Amino acid sequence: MEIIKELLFGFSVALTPMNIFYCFLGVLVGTLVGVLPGVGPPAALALLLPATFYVPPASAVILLAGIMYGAMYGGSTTSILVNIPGEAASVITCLDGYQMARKGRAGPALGISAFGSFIAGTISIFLLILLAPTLARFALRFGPPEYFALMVLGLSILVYLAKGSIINALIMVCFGLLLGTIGLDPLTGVPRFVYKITTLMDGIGLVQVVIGLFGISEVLLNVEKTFKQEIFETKIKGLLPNREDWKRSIGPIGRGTFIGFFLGVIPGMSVVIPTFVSYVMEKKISKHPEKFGTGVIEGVAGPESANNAASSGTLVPTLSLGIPTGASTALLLGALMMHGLRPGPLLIKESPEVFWGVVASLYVGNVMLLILNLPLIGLWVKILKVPYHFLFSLIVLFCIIGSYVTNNNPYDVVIMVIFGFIGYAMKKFDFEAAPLVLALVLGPMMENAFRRSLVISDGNLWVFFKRPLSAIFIVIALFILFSPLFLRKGRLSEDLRSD
Amino acid sequence: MLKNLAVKGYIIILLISFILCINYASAQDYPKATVQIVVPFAPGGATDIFWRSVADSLGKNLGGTIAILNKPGGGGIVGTSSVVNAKPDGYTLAAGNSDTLNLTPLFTRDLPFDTINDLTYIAKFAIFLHTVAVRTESPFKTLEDLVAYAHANPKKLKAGTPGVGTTPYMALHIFNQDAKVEIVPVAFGGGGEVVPQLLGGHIDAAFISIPPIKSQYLAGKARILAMFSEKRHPAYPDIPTAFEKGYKKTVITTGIGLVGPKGLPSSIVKKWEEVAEKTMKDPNVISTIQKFDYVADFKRGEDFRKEVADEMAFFKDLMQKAGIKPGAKK
Amino acid sequence: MKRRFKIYCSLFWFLFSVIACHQASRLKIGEFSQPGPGFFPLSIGIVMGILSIIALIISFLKREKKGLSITTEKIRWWNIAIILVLIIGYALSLEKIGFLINTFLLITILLKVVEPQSWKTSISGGLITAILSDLVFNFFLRAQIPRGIFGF
Repeated sequence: MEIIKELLFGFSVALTPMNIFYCFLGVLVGTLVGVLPGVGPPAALALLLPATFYVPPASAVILLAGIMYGAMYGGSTTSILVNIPGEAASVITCLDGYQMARKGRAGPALGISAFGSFIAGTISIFLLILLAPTLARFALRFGPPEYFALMVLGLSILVYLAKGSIINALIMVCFGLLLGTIGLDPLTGVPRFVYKITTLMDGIGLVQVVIGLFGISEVLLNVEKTFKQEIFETKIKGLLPNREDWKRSIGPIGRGTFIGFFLGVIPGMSVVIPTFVSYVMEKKISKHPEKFGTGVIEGVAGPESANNAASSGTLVPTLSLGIPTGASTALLLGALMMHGLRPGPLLIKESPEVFWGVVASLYVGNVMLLILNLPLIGLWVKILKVPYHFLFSLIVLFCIIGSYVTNNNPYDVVIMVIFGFIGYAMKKFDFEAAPLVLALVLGPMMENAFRRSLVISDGNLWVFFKRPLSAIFIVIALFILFSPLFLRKGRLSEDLRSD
Repeated sequence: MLKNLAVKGYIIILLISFILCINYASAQDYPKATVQIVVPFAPGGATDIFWRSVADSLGKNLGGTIAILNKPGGGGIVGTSSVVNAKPDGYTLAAGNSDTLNLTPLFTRDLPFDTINDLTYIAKFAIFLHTVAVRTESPFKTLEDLVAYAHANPKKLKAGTPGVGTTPYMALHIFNQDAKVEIVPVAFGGGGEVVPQLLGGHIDAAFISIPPIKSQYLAGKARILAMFSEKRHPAYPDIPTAFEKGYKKTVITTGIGLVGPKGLPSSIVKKWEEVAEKTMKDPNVISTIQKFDYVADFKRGEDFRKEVADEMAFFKDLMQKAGIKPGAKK
Repeated sequence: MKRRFKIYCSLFWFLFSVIACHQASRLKIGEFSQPGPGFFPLSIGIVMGILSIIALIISFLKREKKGLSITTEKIRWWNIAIILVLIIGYALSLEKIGFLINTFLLITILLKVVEPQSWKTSISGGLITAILSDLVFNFFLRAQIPRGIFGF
């Protein structure tokens, strides 16, 4: 088969000592950088992009791809250990991963995260190879109406995300949507809710919000009372996932992989969304949904796999069509261009060693990540043993650095602090952060897609239903939103009774 | 007692050495330390790539090191404003693109500074060009086809742009006036977002810069109908310009320049002008930037400022005529 | 959770939505073929207003659950305030004073004040952290965190 030959060729490129070294370097640096809160793949790539100038093209891309994966994995480490999302996509991992850490199960959480990512990565690379051209063409079918419909579908899933009061979750969604409108309106250039504050012109950064809402608020919650009990359980219950964990995780990993990969293919789809979808799906399918949020391993296995698979998915349009799907792939393309390569449909013909070398090194990178990170689990877990009255100061420092480094803007840190306080208050009054974050991510995309659709259709609202793909999404969304009303008494009445 | 004196003496010595460390600019020994160029856009973008590719040569010709710092946001305003208030000692400069300097102020009210008068214009280095493109399946094979259809069907054609206040967006409006047609702009978040929409047939045409559309063009998936410059791009001799087709007003490129805080000593500005001219004549540099489709175009600081200001007046006039009133409150 | 607090919350969000709607209506709403910038915020503001009213009604209807109030222990407000103020101070002075000094001050103060350690521990912790993190971020990762006017 043609493809096997190409793949072997790719491996021959990827497995040269020099490229193995670059792959390892990329994965190592990516992990370390990714552990830093707020510094996710785009920031990591940006930091090291200049360094790649002096390196041959294939090696440079291998290095960068390794960084991307490494950062993606590193991000989950802090989510699990200290409830600080390493980057936006790791937010969901905080929900159950951190709770597992508090119960002394940080090791299994980290472990299943590593294994899940590895399995997802491996599977999705094969999907990439087999399906890239078809998928890329499919991705092109997404015009503004399809995006809008998809976003509506995404929001409707929120109904299942909320642990507590639905009304409160919906209010958080509205809050998130409103926050998303802050900044220069992309369609008309009008400043909205900016009030002459320069930093706000670009809107409120997701990274800063997330670090504040999750990281700082957790610190505040922990220091407000005296440390009577240990924040983390001192007896560490095992370093790796046990049999039971594996049994419960295999399903989520598989489902997460497919959700992540296929959603990641859509250009502009933030990597955050597949993780949310995976979490909600696992919760819905699970036999004990009420346990989600207290430290169930499915809540880590699924999203982490989706995370990694989505990263591979975003490479599909990037490598086969030369279309950037997000910040990381845009940087990757930039790096390719800096080396005089021409990303796009011609890449595979003109520079096959780059294309196949990269694909093969993705696999090599995944293997390295696993080998690198498993032993590190022991190290990370030891960090939790550091007394909290010292640890928290480091956490605060990292939060500050993480929110500063994205834009080198000190006011970003101020925003982070504000949201830290907001997150703290929210926890006290029973409002959840996850719906807020999802709305903040989806809101702008949804609004822009809606308005563009109307411009293209000259104001005709039926455009969403006349096109097959968007009609399907909207129907599914409506079904998800309203089915509980028919099937059961629905959560609203539960709201009324319980607290 | 002695110990006290020793401590005091030590502190005084420390203070003196701190004061001595504070550099003040004099062109003879400029640059004495690393020169920081703030790129007000995200890394990996067109502007960022330009500066990173020339940083080495610039540094050599300047006789010092250049460090690039990215401060994205607000279409370039956030990063540029951080330089406006910096010390005018020549160690903090900013990449100044012409669209940040003359388009953004027209589209965004209440900017924290005056882009024409609150900055020292140091030099212009290069330009990058913009295009109007369609996908290969499109019925429009030439610019004339597009215009003919647009004449017959006002407001029917939808063309994507990288966003309100970008140069291609302006190009669309200028072209509308020049060709007397009404093509409807649909704003996206950058050229990268426009291309898949174009390829998927969701919009009829795209007004964007070269980098996003280049690989599609080379692969035969898209057609570039024209570029918006006076002369044809040296690397693309087959693509006509709107100018040569008779649309004399539709000449608009984005200039890549260097600016600094107000009050920069003229000796430093002069030194930079020499360095810029020398670097942009260097064939190595020219071939590097051509890989990314920039065209070298050197201008001295004051000429650059005049060009930017003149363009701004032209745009203002155009916007009034076209009835574009962005940033307007109800 | 006390019913009182739930009522305050609902009122807060209602107020918030009113302000949002008001600010949004000052932007152009536009028409269907060209939706303006105010369209979306206004709609969301309205929805939020409705939701907060529903929340208000629900909090009146529900019986108050017997049991604990929010806290049984004293909350150490000082800690919260100090941390917030410290971080803001750190951020705003970063570009003038520089990473090394700021980090040192931050860690030292945090250690000393929030969960009191001895002077020795606080200062040495501050020093070590500041130096190590400067190495990691500025040197290895070239993150370019400002050096401040003292040059370091």
